[in-house]
Amino acid sequence: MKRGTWWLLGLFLTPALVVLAGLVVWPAIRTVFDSFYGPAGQEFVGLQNYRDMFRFDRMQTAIRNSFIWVIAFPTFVTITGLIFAVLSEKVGWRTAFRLILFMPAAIAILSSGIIWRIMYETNPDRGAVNALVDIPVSLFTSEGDLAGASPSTDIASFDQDGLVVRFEVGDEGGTVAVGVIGIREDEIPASAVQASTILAEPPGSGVVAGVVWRDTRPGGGERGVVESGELGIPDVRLRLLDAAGSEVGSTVSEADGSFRLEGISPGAYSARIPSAEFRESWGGISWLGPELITLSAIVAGVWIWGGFALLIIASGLAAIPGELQEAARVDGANEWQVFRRVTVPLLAPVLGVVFVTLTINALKMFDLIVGIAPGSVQDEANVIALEMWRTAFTGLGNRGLGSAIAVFLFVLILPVMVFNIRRFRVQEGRR
Amino acid sequence: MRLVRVIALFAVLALVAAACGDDDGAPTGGGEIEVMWIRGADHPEGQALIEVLDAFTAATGVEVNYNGVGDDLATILSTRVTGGDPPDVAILAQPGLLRDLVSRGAAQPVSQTVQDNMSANYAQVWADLATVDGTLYGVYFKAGNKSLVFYDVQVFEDLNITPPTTWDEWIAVSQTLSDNGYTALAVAGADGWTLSDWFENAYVRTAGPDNYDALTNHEIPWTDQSVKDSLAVLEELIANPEFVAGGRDGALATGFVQSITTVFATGDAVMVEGPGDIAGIAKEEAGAEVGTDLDFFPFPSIDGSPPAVLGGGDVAVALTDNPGAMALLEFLSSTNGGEIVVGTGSFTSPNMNVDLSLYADDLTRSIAEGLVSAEVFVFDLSDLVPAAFGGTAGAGIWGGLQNWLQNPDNVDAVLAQVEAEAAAAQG
Amino acid sequence: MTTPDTIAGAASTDPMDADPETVRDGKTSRISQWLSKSAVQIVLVIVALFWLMPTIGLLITSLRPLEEFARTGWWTAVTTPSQLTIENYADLIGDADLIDAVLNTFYIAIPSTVLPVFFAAMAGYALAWIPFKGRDTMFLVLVGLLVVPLQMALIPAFSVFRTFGLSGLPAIWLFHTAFGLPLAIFLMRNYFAGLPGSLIEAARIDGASEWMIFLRVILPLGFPALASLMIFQFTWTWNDLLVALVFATDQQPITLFLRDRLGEFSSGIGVISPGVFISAIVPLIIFFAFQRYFEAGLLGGSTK
Repeated sequence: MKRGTWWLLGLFLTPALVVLAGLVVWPAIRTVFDSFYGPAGQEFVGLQNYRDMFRFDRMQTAIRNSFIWVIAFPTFVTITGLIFAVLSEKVGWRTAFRLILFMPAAIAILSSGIIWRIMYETNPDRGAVNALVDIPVSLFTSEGDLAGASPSTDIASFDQDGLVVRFEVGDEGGTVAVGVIGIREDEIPASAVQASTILAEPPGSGVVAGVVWRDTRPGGGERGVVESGELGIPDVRLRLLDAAGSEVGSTVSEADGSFRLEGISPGAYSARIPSAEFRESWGGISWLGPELITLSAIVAGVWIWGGFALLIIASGLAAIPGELQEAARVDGANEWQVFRRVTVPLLAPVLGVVFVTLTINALKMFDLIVGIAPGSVQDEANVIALEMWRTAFTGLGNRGLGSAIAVFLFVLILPVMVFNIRRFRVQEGRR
Repeated sequence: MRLVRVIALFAVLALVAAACGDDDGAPTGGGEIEVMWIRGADHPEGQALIEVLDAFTAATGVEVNYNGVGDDLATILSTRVTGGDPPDVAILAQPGLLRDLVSRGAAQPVSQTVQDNMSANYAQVWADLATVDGTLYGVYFKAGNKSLVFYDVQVFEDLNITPPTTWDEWIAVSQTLSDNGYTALAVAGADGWTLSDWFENAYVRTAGPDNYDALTNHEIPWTDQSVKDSLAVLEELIANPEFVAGGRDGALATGFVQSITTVFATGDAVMVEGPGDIAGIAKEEAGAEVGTDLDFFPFPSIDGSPPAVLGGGDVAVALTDNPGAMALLEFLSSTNGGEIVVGTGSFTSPNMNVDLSLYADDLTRSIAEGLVSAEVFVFDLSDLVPAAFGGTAGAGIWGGLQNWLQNPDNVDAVLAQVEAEAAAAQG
Repeated sequence: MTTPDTIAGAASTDPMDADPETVRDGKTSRISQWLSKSAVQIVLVIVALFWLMPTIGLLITSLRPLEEFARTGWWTAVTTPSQLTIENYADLIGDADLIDAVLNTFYIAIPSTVLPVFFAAMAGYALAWIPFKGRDTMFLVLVGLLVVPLQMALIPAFSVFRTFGLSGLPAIWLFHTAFGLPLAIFLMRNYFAGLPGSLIEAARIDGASEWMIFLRVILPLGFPALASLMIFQFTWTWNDLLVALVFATDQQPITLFLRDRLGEFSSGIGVISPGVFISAIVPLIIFFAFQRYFEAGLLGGSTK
């Protein structure tokens, strides 16, 4: 070796070595050390922190959630990347497509979390995700005219089929007064007019007459009685059932809320308004609620990392000689079989690298949770990396426990990392 | 290669610029002080405080370096104190933090001038809150009234409703609203502190201020009948699914800002209870104008209870012997200072001698009036107890009330849990 | 991450331009071929739209007044474009804190990029071309440090910095440097190792010092790898949250600025929605402008 080479080596290597030794090696060792000490680093507590770690609710939730992340996240993202890498092969605008999917990688993960937090707003009028879900939902169900209403007196009551009023039809006919409250004036059809006074006189033999009306007016008024200033509710569907439960007639209320059925013989009857009329508008799924927050965050994670997986898998795909797939097709295999039997096995190493990298990311997940989870569900959305920061750097700052969590995280990541590095080395084999 | 050089040049420039931009703000003593608070300079309250500090500088010649550090103030301040480099003045929202600083020997007792100002201008309770072991350490220059119910003016007018003054009237108003198809209340159950404000308002009215103090000091347990009775009353209103937007589950999923927009933006509810900040937030988030869209009524009395105000406040404490620090406290505790604080339009002052006409608008003035003239005044209980019990999400008082709202029938088990946590935190 | 090269045969090229599907003359009918191709097109278009929706949604949100945000969803802007406004951006431009945050993010990202890449280049060259005993072991150990997660070093690093009186920006630079080094050294060393030894030998014979060789031969040749590494590192540090959370003092980058606005007393959307865009623009520009280096470098380093 030339003279002075040692000095040169020092020049080249020292900066990196010093920084690494001082900020990676030594602190890592120190963290292990600290994990055996108390919150302020004063007293030696042995394994107490490790025991405590698993006992605290927050940490238990964090471990459970991290487990879910590790299982679900790499799987979903890899599959997404794989499917779209293969599909985009077939179109001319693949570059644009791949760029679009990869773009979220440029945005800070925190920002992506925030973007999705906004999208997951529960109210379907405000949150994009629920608005989309609302489209099919509203095909099958829609808000009833009487949504939110309830009977004003107890002559009417709800059962599983809707609102029911039981009454008698006598020789002079029968009357049904269905007063409802809990509905705004602007929520009933615009054609509504003053409620009918049809009930003031006996309907006549064989006739059932009734009124469906909004039983409230400025100043309140008396319940169960149609008064001036109270509006009838038009277009309400009513069914008349006899004592045995068979339908003997049905009708729809008029603009003044009145309805009339003829040819009804005396007896006990029930008038029913179907529950569909009372159906409330769909309130939206609570994506950011305690039950769904982790799943919702994983979906956001797929959006963020899907493009990355796609790019790597696509480059692997490009390295597969086209002849292999061609041969399979010539042999009569359809696209799915080519995919399953030829493409995927050949991609296995790439898929492995992607999957493992994502697993490491899943364990380190931090920014996304901070961005997407509102304060009230932070505990339910907790993951190990977040718990570590909260324990060590917020509130009272528990150095010992925080270090123990960090060590725990390290122990979880280590095998995965080693596996990944081994793969690097296998592929970089020759030197 | 050239590109590398260019980048290297940028890097150097960045280093230089950063070094120049980084202002340590090392206290120069005498002529300059550092003031620390949670509000950043971009926040309306931060800007308002800067206005006050500028007036202070103009009056005394002492320069101020304002440091708005955000919600982690407790942690940051603690680190600075441990490191022997505290700010000259810190403004704290929790009395507990003040006690903590005093016990670490970090807080400076106030000067005689401040003491004189306090007895002249403030009700005793404000001095008591800043007193530890008989020595006064701080000045409550800013206070908040948390016994307010804001409502949608338009709906009240349409239905000819007058704001209720008693609990029974409030229930009746809620029923009327419900009958007419409106949802009476938006309750922010996702944020524990809003529920604790509800509870404290109810408790001081059903059990009285003496019991309130006793509960605060854990002289009576949380399983006491007075607590149960209070919750039973509260249940009539905020645990009634008919009266609350989204029902109980909806309430538990609603955050503070959301509860305000539910009333003033989407119109899915008519009333929302909370601190004076609501007016500003409703304006910011929903464009609600005072008078035409929004107004408030004081939290109604329960069974004839006297007018009571639940309040909070921020206390300024001197942490160094820099004479400028004490000068600031003297300024803040004086009526002149109080009037400047009020004049910014962002703050309410507990100073009784501040001219009420200085308040920028009627709303703030009425709120301030309620605060200053309250027959019964209690400080927010959850701010007075240790933070682990009174100020931690999902635990202690906050968690307990959320559990209660989820299932009010379970009140005994919930209170037992809260009592256990209180015992652990307060003894 | 690295590009796999376990498949013998065609060298991998730009992943964006994979070979187009070869035409089949097999037993599958042309019609079903056309059908499946259209189906794929449609599916991909829908997926692309879905993928763009969150960002577009945010963009529109940033162009709406805050009151509208509380009332209705951003898609209503399609039917009522009159609600769009630039008031959020206008407010921000005047907001000194945002400008500071953007500047601070540059102040953080640039040195945090240049330092590790430069140190890694030096170390990489030494590990590739300066023979010494234990060289391979050292390389393995240095790269092996990849296994240490950030969290393992945060708390003690905090103390290390305090001992040396470092905080804020210099602390962040050094920490980012430390954790960027293992991967950077790996990539640099591998790339340099693939350079023609003859050039280096020739330079040595000519009497050039190692430092000269490094500056005049290695760096220019290694430029694609350097560039791609810098893009990666810059994006990473620009978007970082955790390190800034722990070490930043009064000079806060934009991630902290955004996080602070997620407050309890305000939805913050009026500031956050334009803020996210402004924050995303820089890495997006860098990514698109330097795209070719990004791929070439990554691939070049591994397919030697």
